[in-house]
Amino acid sequence: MTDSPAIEARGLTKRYGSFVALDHVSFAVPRGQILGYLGPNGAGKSTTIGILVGMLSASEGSVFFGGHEFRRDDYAMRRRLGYVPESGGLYETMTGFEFLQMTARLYHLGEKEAERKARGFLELFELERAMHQRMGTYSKGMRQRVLISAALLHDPELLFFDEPLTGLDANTALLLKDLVRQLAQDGKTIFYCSHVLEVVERLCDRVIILDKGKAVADGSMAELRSSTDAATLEQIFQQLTHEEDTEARVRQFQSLLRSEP
Amino acid sequence: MSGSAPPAETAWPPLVSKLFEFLGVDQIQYQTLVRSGFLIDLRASAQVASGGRETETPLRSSLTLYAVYSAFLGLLAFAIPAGLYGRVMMIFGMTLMGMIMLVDFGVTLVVPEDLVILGWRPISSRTYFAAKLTNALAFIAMFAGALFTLPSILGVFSKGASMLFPLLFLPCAVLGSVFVAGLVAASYAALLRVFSAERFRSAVNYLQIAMMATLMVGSQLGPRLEGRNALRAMRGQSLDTAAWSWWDLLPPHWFCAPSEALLGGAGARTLALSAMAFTVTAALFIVLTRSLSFRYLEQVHGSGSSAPSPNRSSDGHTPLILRAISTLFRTNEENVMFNLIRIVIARDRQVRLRVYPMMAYSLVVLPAIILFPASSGERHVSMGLMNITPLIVLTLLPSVILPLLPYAGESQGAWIFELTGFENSGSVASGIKKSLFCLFLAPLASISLAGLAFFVGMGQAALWVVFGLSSSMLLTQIAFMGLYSGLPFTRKMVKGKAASRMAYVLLCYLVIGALGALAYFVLDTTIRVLIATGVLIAGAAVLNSIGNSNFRPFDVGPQTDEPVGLIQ
Repeated sequence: MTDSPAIEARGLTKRYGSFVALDHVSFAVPRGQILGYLGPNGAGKSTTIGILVGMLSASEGSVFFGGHEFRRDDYAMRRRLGYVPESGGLYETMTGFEFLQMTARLYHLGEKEAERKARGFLELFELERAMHQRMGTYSKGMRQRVLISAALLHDPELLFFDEPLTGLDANTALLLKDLVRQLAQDGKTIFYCSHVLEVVERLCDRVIILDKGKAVADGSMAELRSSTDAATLEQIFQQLTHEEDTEARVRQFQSLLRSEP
Repeated sequence: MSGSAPPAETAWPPLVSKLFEFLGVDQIQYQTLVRSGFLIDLRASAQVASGGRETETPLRSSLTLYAVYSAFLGLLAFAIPAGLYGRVMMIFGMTLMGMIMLVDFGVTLVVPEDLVILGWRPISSRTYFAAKLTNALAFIAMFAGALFTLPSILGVFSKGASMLFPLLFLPCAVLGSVFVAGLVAASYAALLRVFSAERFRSAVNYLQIAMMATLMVGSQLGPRLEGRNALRAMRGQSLDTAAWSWWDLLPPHWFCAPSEALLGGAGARTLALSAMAFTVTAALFIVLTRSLSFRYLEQVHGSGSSAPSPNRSSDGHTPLILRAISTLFRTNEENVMFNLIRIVIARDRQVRLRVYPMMAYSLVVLPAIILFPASSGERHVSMGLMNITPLIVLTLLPSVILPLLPYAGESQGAWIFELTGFENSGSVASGIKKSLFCLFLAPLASISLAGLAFFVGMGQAALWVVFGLSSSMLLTQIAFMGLYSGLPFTRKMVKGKAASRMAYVLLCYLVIGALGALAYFVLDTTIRVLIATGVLIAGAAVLNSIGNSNFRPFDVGPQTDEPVGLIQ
């Protein structure tokens, strides 16, 4: 079990009718690694996470955690997962406290322990004053802090983050980045999906770049630099995802803005 | 549930715990999900009932409203025999329950967002389903209680009823309500089997609209048709519970059968229909247990993630009929309003769900008049009433459609008008009215024409449809000036204006009544109808120019007023 990768995807494919959202993607993530999972919009990042956490079924391929094949009805395995979704993920009519308390109870934490954890996480993320307000009234950053708490409070071994910094202020973003590093040092495996290339470059041990449902790059920053002759992750990303010359596109925008009706 | 779960600290009796274990339902998770479900549904229903804004007691208001409404209908108990009374109440209650499930509490059964929130957590489909079912049944019981308790008690006073009527009828009514709720949920599940994920969402939309229209028409026609039997019954014939009829195909008759059997003696018909009621309800829930799971939610969720389906107008060509209609809209503002209303109604599910059934509701007048029982109780069509059918259908339409156009916050993107403004407000008003005419009045007039022509001939039908249209245009002007001034999609409901608007509503209904009486008693020659039509059109034209010149798109009333719910 210890030699086996913490997370392993073998030939993951997801089709919606004739549309292929994910096309035979394979990778293995060792225990304690922070994997950056990148790609343009619609590349299949969230679909990959959906399959990995057992929310979506794959059209083809398998997922293994610690060498064991993950089946969707394997609830013992599910207890080891934590997931911060990109959007949604909370009931807006509940208060932050109620939501976290509910989440803790779903993992069989006792009433008092659930209450303690919910209160503790909300205080840690500076939400104590809003904890009894409905989450529909929360700002994007406040919701994100609740989502992160709801993913962490049962102390999972495998963490899946989908754009976790969305809406967070600079201080909370810094706190989260430090927290992610610390969690990885404690042996937890982090699957980190983001558009913010600078953060991924600084935070992740390894990067996979996805484009049109296919993995087009997989390696550490040093490996990616040497294989692409690019200095930054931004340039690597641009090269591999066939992004057009952005300067030319900016000029096109300018001419469109200036044009008479 | 997984064997690694920590032991549950629970005070539940051992027998209940054993039952949960036998069913494979995790007790703690079930308890947690049910508790949260009530919280979410009660608060969500509060927001639905108040048009997205939070209010304190909307659920209590809704329950009270349904109770009062059903109690009024329950007064029928003093006029008709027990068996018939039970059937009328069952038709009414079951259709209303269907509407509640479709519009307000469908959310209790199908919650796609559960997939992202709960779909990845260690919750089995059985636990999830058991909790969902408990929530749904609690809501059904609550609404069934509001709808059927008072009528059940009043049923004691119906002819031939025993004191046991409430005790026997109420459980049957609750079972009928459970059936309706199950039918709605099972219809969704069946759609997922028939349609691909890409087409599921639009299929659900059309199903909801069709079911809602059927229920609205059914709730009006059902009791009327039973009313024909009532007249016969009141002439001394008792309701024969042993006699089969085509009406036994309707579910409300099945669910009345158990109480009829217990109150009036079991016969082949009542026993067979009772068996049907129990079997069909059980079958529905077997279908549901096999369908409602995270897998089901994934399919619902997947329908939103799928590749876009080919769009018919993606080639850039506007259909000929739209091009023809758009020639009526001469200014930019008129065109903008037409396209906005047309597109929002075509694409916004919530708006369609309210507007289309209301159109069906307006049309109910035609068959209701055909089926209107004369004093003899025999089939009889009143030609005078028949002729004024288009008038009733078309004048009712503005009053039911205008308030249903979305309010502020309900339609994304309408804020753009507040930023950009309009050069010519009069043209905006004109565009809204013309849109109403082209999108609703003209199609409904065509349907009325076709229906009426079948009975009175094309010439006569056309004459009365034009009269109805001109009446409707006059009413639209009055309603637009007094009731629904301001741009749809940005309009806010303002508490302070409610009372003054009531006066306009009464005025509108007074005008409808006066026009109806005029048509029924005075307009007995073609030339009189034509003269009246001309006068109405002239009146509408005068009000149109006054209304357009005074139109303020963003006149939303005093800003200090608290917003109020749509349903209060």
